[in-house]
Amino acid sequence: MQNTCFFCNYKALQVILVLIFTFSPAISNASELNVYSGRKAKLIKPLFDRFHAETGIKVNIVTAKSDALIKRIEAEGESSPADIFITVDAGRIDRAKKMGLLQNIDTTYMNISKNYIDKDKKWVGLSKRIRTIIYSKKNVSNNEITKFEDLGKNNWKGRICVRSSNNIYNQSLVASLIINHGEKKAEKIIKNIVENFAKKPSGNDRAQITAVAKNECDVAIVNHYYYIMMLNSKDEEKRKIAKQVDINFLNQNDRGAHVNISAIGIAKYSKNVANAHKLIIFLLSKESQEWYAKVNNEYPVHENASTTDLLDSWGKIKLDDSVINKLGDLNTNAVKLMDRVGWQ
Amino acid sequence: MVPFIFLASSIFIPFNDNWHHIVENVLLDYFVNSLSLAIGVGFCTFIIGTTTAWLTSVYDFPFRKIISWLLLMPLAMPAYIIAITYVGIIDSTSFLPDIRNLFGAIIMISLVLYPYVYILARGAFLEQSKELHENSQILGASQFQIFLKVSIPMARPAIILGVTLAAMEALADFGTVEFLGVPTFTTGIFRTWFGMNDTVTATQMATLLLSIVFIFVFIEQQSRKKVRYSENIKTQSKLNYRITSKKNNFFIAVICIFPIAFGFIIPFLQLIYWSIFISNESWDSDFFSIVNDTLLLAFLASIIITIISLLITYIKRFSPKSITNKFMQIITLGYAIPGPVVAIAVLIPFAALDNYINQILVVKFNFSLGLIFSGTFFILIFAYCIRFLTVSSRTISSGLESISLATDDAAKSLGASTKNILIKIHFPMLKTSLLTSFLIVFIDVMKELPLTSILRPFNFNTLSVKAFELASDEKIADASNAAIMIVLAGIIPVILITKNILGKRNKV
Amino acid sequence: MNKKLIISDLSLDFGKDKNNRKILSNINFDLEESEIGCILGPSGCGKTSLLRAIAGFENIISGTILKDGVCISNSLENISVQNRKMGMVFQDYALFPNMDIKSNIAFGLKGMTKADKEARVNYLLKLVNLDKHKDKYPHELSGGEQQRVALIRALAPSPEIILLDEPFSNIDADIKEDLVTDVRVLLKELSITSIIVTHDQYEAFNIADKVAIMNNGKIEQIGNAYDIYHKPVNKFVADFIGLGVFVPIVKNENGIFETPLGLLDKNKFHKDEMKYKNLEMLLRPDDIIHNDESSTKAIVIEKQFRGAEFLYKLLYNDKYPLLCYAPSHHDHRIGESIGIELEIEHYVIFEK
Repeated sequence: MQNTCFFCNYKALQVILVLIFTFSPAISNASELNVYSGRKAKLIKPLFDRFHAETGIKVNIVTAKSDALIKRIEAEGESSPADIFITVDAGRIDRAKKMGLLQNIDTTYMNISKNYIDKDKKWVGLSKRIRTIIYSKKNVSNNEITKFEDLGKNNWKGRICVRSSNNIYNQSLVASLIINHGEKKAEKIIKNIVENFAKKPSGNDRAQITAVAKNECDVAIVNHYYYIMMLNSKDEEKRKIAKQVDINFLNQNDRGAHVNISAIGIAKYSKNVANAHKLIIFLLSKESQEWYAKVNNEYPVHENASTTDLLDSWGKIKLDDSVINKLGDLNTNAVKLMDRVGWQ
Repeated sequence: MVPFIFLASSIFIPFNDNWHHIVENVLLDYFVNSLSLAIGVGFCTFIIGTTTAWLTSVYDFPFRKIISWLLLMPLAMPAYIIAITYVGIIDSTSFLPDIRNLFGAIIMISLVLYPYVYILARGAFLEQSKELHENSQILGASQFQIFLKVSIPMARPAIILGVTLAAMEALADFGTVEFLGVPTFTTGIFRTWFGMNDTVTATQMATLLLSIVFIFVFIEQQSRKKVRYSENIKTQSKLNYRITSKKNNFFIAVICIFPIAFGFIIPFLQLIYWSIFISNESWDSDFFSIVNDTLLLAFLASIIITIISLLITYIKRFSPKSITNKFMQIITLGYAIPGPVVAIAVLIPFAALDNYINQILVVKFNFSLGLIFSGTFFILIFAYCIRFLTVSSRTISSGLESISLATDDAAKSLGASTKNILIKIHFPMLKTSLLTSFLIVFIDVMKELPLTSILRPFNFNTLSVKAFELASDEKIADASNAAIMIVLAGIIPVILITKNILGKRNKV
Repeated sequence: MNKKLIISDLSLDFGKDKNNRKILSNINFDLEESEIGCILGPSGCGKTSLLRAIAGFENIISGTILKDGVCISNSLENISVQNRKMGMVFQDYALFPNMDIKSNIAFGLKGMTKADKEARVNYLLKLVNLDKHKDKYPHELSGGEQQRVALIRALAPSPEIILLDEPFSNIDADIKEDLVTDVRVLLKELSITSIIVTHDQYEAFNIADKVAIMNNGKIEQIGNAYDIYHKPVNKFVADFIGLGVFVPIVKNENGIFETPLGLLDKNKFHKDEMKYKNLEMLLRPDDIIHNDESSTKAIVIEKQFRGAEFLYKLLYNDKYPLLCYAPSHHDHRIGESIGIELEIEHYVIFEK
């Protein structure tokens, strides 16, 4: 009996210590905004700093994969300190909406195309990224592939590289095919493409580009900005690799290239709705858009914002943007489809 | 306790569509890969660990002492870091085989986990008496035969323990297999929970994984008991080092250096090279604030976990039959559970608790405290407790066991109060164990990835998360700064722990 | 007469014993001041539990323990171990590994100046010839040395009673004999009341004034060495102590009791014994004498060299095994037939 009492005191002391040190204030502050961002800090924090300088509103940021953040906001429920949610994929922001995690945005003063605004006004796009192909300059001629569906043809057997089906960019890509072709036909197309894989998916988009340069395959499916990043890399090795491949945009004669967006929404239980709107409007301003897009070599959603010279040089690209609003709906179908056809 | 109930209860929820989908399409893959990973790692660590343990126990060769220490260095290197490094190396050459597959994952994880088998096997070999070996020689056995037919069987409990520990860590691994693209149970759970947003199915998969894990846990606990008994043979003399011919010396030294080189030296040098010449990330104030945060977190967690372990161990000693003790025994199974699973099991109950408390507060006092538990370090440290409490309490426990209950009784018969017994007798003898426990948890928290990534609070980043993020983005060279810091932070503890473990045995 | 320690009707259980047997049942035992008592019995008989109950480590369920007339244990309460002023020496010595020898010994000393403590420690070390080792650590000492340290550590705070739990069980045979004598001398010199627990009867008989034989939680007999050896009260004690065999006793046609080896003098019988039908008698090796001239013969089946004598195991009439001590210059071979004679002072007879 002596012993347990001794420890009683010890335990109480310990609990107090823990309370003091580990409970950092989790209370929302009116002059701050809490952003849960699936986009890397480096690609957005400078803008937040500028926002802070201009408006005096401090922006706190937590980064993680969009999926994890969604889970977190969901678990946090009404007590969630989240004000803003940023993702790098249309499917994910749509999921957040479907889970009831977002509230209405007043888009009255937001000057962007309707395709990049949620039909229920729960989210707004911030930038565009195209998922397309790069190909080996040596082994593939320009314009040999004009449609995504071409990749399923027999002559491409063992020549295609792409990253895992776990990746949300691929999932949205497949979702867009389901929307455009219907699930049955889409499954056939994807199946054919998967059978043409040169190897089991591994690594991310940059690894696919490297694989093409190393002659492990001739075509890779990537987001366009990865290619540009390698072209501009500080590492000479990477630049050399990028020079051996070229990029092509597909389906220009029908629906347009597959486009995805990074998007922003306001958390349902945000206590700072007014400030949240201020931030969104700030991010949609011409200057912000230019910085935001350029820093990652993406396309801005703002109609008049300029892009990098390289992107300019590629001219106007036809985009399959009418399906953006639906990509989220078909995410689960896409994942299951990919599982069924063995896209690992 | 709650997390376990939560997990267990998920079995009873009817399987939904997603579950069927998984069973039809990928469950077999997950199962085969996870099992192969565990068995493969078990096998490789067995080979590397027992061979090096044998060579450093029985033979004498130049630099033997240093090599014996260095063989533990890979413990400072997280598996995913070493995977990232080798992928970076392999990508820039064209002749090396790609390791982004199951085989690669097995090799990578084995390279950093073989020290478990090494330590335990070496301890067992050193306990084997000289007489035994000489006896075998008279009966005509060659060194290799002695190794195979006498020493390994006698050291079996220790070896099985080491191998099982390595296999379980392999099963729980997330970062390495995710990065190398090997679909296993842990990545599958992650994908289902986050990617398909299906908590129920994810939990069911977690439960399935745990049932497999518990088989390993069972084996491990059985062999642990046998290890204790076998360490009581002190009557015969310990093994003495023997010197072999110069030709063999070189060969042996080389064999032992292999794991050190591949498991530590090569990756570490590569990371340094990248950091200095290629990395885009600079050693700026942002970086150092992450370093700071990580060290602080690890430090805090280590202290808290060590203290809790101390309490548990004492409760076990003084009231072995109490309910608290049984409770603690179950908690300590947490080390077998993969990170993402712990995160699920911890986040949901605590967030629910927070919301419940806030609802009451809002109704009564019209204000909310925000997230008390789940939004702060509390939940992170709680999760670390679940993961790391076992290793810490086992360390302290074995230290306390060396103080026999008779010693306590003797002190009592000499008039000492309980307080005096603790301060004058227990504490001096526990000092080493407490320190070791602290250091082990420190390293583990520094290396931890999936839990930290999911549960961390605002404006908080750790080196492991940062390194993994950059690496997943294929910015491998950029990840080198963070990776180096993790390894450096691990080296000192590993050296200190090594000194303790090997020092005790190195009386030969 | 002042009894130092009185144990009355003590019983002890540990909750769920296997057969729900008590660990100790109705133990009665007492010691005079400065007496050395011994509790002797086979493994598992409960002797260590009794010692621990006396020390205060175990709670008893009935009975009392009185020290100097004051109750220190009964079924309701216990004075704590620390307050009993008893010393204890444990089977594995339990020296504190992190302290040197002199600190170990000084551990129980309270309320003394540093100089006084040092003086006492040195005095005790000298008593057992260990003063050269005072700065060493326990693991540097041999088993015998550690045991001596454990002993003087327990003696240092001048306890009123000292308890020793199998103190010689880990000592090498060649020094054990001397050590037993030395410890007895020391305890007598310090005039300290002692209880020793052991399973070794030769230790018991050489160190103690008074021996209690224990079996299955009960005390079978209390007495000195001679009484126990020659007048065991039951078959267990007769069997446990010393060597011996049993031979049957029958009443012949003439109404005289006889054994296979000859007639018995009925005057040496007790009245009670004569009532029973099936009797047997204890024959110790010293009850059977080797006499070459005797007409009674037995065959040697085993033989042990014991220095001054041989212990012969014999077979009489192809039926009865016998033990016999013979001086060692009578060296007979196995299978040989030798002459024997029965020479018993005191009959020890039990019902079969």
